[in-house]
Amino acid sequence: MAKVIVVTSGKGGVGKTTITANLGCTLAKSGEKVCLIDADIGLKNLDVVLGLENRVVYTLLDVVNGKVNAQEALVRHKQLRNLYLLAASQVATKEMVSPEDMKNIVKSLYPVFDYILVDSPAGIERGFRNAVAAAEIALIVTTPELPAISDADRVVGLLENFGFNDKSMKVILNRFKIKMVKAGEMLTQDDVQSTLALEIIGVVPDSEEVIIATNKGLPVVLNGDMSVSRVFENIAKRLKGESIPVDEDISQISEKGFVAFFKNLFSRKRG
Amino acid sequence: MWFFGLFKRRKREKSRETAYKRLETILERRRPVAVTEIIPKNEFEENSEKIKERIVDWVSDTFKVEKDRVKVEFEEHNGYIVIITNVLFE
Repeated sequence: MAKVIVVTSGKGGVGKTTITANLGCTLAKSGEKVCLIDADIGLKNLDVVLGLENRVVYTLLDVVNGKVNAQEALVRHKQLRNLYLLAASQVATKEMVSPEDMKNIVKSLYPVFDYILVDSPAGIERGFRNAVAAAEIALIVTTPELPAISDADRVVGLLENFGFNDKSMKVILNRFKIKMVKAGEMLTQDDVQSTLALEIIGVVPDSEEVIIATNKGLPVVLNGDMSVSRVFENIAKRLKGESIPVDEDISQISEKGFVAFFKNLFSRKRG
Repeated sequence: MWFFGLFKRRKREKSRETAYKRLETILERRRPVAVTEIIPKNEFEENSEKIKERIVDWVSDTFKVEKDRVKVEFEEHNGYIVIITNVLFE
């Protein structure tokens, strides 16, 4: 039976799709069978981040309309053979899908996968309600900026109304800039944790590699910054129940330069 | 002396501190008030004057103002009673 996780935020542009793609790839790399569902109907992007935009034949809307079943609509990843995508339609609107449709789709994929990750659209309207409908765990993505945290807090309130609790909601702090934090010019992970009163499951550094990876259509964990990959590995492990302190993510971010280069080089060879 | 002043480092409040304070204010405003006890409507109506008197006493005592300078009003908003207290300071 799959673990169904929704990646949401409230505010747009905080990195939900990038987090979904990279987390999905990391879980698949560790041997799990993973399905990513793009619930951002009308403004789909997950296929682009994964480099699968030319392989999409059927979309989520085709499944809702009964044209094909959910498994027939899946696209397999080029490199990770146990990673699948159920793409969203670009021509449809969020109102064409209901939370009940989403539940049915997830239900049909439930026995086939270990993890189902749903990429939620920004906002708190229909698209958001569709995305969270079938999820048991919510990953709330935020950046260390006021508008993002404020919106995340609003989403936490809504998720509580949907039955989520402190244990089923976790925060991912994205685009974390250690230099700015050290200079006292950015909110720390403790600030975010204390204001949202939820566990932070990962701190992802701000990295140019993410832009380069998106340009290539390869998530950064498959071809890029080792420190970012490690952070996603840590998040995946925490999702599986392993106890890894979040400070390890921060130390990954801090370790840059000559020594870190060699450390990464040798650990890459080991892996 | 002005020459040395050029090299004096100006102490600037870090933006993190400002952000944290603003964030707390934003989120505090939004957090729902934890309701621990609900007073029945009739009970409230019967005792409203007593409640007003006690608020006036407390405010007058705390802020050291005359009792007639404290005005208390009750208003209903979304099923909650909002107590509005005006204090006329000298």
